[in-house]
Amino acid sequence: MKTDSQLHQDVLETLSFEPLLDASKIAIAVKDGVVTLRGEVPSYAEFWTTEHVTKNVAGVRAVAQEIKVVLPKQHVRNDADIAEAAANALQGDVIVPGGIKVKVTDGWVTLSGETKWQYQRKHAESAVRNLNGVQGVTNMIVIKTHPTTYDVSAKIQNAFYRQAGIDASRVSVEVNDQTAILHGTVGTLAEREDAEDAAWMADGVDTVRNEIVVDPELAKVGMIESQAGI
Amino acid sequence: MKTDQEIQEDVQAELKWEPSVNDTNIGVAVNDGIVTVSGSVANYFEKWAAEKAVGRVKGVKGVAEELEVHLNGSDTHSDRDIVSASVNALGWYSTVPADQVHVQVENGVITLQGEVEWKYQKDAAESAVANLMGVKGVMNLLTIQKQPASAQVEESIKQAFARHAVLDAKQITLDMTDGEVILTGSVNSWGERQDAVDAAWAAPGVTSVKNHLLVNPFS
Repeated sequence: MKTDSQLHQDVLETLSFEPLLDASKIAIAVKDGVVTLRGEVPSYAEFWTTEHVTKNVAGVRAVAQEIKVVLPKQHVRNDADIAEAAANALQGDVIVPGGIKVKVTDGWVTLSGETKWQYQRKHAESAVRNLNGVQGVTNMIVIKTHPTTYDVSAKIQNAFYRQAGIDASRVSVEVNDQTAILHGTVGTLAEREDAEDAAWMADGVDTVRNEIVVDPELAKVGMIESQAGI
Repeated sequence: MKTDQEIQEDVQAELKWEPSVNDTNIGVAVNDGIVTVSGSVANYFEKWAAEKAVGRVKGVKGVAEELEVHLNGSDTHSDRDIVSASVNALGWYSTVPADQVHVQVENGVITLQGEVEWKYQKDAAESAVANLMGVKGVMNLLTIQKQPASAQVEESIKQAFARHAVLDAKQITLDMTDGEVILTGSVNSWGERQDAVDAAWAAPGVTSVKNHLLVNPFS
């Protein structure tokens, strides 16, 4: 098991290794494997990348993202221009369904409306996240789906069994109304997110509550052993 | 160890499960764990999502993606419209150096050319245009600027593998000559194989990555 100070060093090196980032502007704090990121970055793309790469560091149990985006003057755009670019981006995108609304206040984009699937909801967010002048995105899009008659939890559990990135013996799912609740302990944040993604793919699920806990001790070795047993 | 038939069944189930993919026109064949998907999909995103869905199935050692994008009649856009949408999208994309990227469109296939400094910029340019209406494919011919690759670069990639939560650095061998990285050894899944490539690309001075990693879930 890595100590917090080792983990601190690994996160620092990972942020330094990433070409988009200036790690000297980011403060890292680690407690019991939970990494808190603070500081200022000059774009939302950098904000997103800091969190994304930190999640992939071995030993990280969770990431608290407290970085602020402060755009340099030359990158600031007026809200009306951003709103128009965002509306164009959503309209021109083949995945995002019609009817998604955009509001922009001081560079902060808020999306609202309905989609049938989580991948469409997330895609709408990534379509606007990287636009010039964007300071942040709040995704208020809701998933609108219908209750189904089949056994949703069994279908999700089967998906866990099929996937290479998930150790199905360590995660379980219960479905209440249209909410899928995930339980268990896995070795990495990536695995925790893979399980969540799999649950979102179920027809009839409009909410996923991910209560899976990350215990880095289970990483790698445990995964290989249990796969070999199948 | 899963048989090819079991893998085929799981791949078919996973494609049916993936909501962004319509599996009705997709055929799946498996030979020694290598999966070939062929047939047609409705847009470029679906092509990408189908490959990803296949790649995450346990036991899959390789993916040959031979899907063609067949746009529905109402989804076709003129090449001119796609060019102007692409130029607009690239111009607004914060991590793309837009004046370094040249766009051409022929029959709905976008070709990106030019030179950028980093792989993430090359990828960003592709993401900016890949899901525009009417796009059948993207040929990303952007090149990465040559930089002097120092002796530490090789070591820094190895360390990145070691820090990575999913990769097992001990099983990956790395060779670097003149900015070209060659990866050999084994990983546990098709997804990990991609993680290794991404990690190698982050290093300064890398201009190409040759991925010879084998997927061996029982190593």
